Amino acid sequence: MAIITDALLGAAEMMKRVSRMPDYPYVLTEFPVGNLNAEELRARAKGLIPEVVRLLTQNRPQD
Amino acid sequence: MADKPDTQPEIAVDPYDCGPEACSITASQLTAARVESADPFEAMETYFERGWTDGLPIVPPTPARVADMLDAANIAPHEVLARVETRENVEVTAEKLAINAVMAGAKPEYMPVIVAAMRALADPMHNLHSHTATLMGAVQVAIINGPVRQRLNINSTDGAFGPGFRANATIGRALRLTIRNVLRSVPGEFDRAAFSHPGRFSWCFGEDEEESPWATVSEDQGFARGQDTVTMYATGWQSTIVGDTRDAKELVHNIGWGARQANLSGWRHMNDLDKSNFSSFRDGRKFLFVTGREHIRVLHGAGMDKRAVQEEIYRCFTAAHADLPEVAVAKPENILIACVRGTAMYQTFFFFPFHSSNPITRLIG
Repeated sequence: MAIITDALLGAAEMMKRVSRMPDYPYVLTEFPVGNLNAEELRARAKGLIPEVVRLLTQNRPQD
Repeated sequence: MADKPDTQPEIAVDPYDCGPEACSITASQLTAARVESADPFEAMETYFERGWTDGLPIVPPTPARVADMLDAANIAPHEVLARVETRENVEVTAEKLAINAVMAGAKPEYMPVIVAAMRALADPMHNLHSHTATLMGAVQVAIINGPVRQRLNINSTDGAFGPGFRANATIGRALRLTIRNVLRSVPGEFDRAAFSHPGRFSWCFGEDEEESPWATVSEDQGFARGQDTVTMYATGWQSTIVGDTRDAKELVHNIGWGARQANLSGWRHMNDLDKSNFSSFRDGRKFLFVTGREHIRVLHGAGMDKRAVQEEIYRCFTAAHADLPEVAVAKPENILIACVRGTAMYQTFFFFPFHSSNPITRLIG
């Protein structure tokens, strides 16, 4: 899975298509990220954790 | 559906099938799918509708024209010139490049330059994937050195950055159409440029070796005077330094400090990246100046050789300053200086280098 910003949604969708992985999961976060300070970045990461965990643990393909 | 790009990465290279004239051996080896049209104007409209142009009309790439392009470079259609691993190994074959070169309006004799430029773009240290996808809208600039400039009428004199010169316009356009149609740097897909740039239609110029007393860009990149080369340079943005002082020291300081100001991005993460020695691109990242002959005459007339100018600009980039962060230039040799004639205009252009890219030079032919 990946974490991407909403500003780059089009590029992420294109990468899924050319990679032939249309169901590749990602978590979307608000742009920007690069100018957040450390405290803001921690808060952003913390907010994304539940969705990251969900994508990593649910509906995984069978081995 | 004008301007709506197709989502299949490799079907933008279909040649317009003009019929029986496509009878050469090379033409018989072409494998791209065919698009049938009643006439060239219908073909142009088809290419617009399928999102295979840069917004300007194209020359329909008939099999015969594509074969002529390949024959001029003595290259087989299936030869792979570039592969982008970060885009699922999408490949630029000679056939696909030739199709886009025809579409751009290039003459067959330009094809060896276009092939060499594509090979330069494909070098991992050029990092094509990054600067053709970035929000920054970086531009891929082709600088041509050697006698090939005269043979192909590649302008290096007055007006070399602008319209009116077929070789300059179509060599750069062939590369950009290939980046769009084969590598899928299409707005909304892999191209996420926030503003983009008119230089993305085409930016190719020759260096005016005849007007410059200094070593050429090609020589600075390790090649010999007289060799035909193309240097690909990725630039994030540009600025210009204008001034008719006849004082060389004042002039070089204006150029150096003007460029230092232009380097200032204000991006917290980029400034940190710039300062670090961590980036694998830093050692070969070069800061390009394109200087007109009037400025060169002032500098050279005062006894400054190219090395002296590089060292002075390096000092301007790295001197302590209260407001301007130090520029992430590794060494004086990373100040790259080219000459374009620019008669009667006391002007130097500065090209801010894309952060994670090195300029790459390749022999033509």
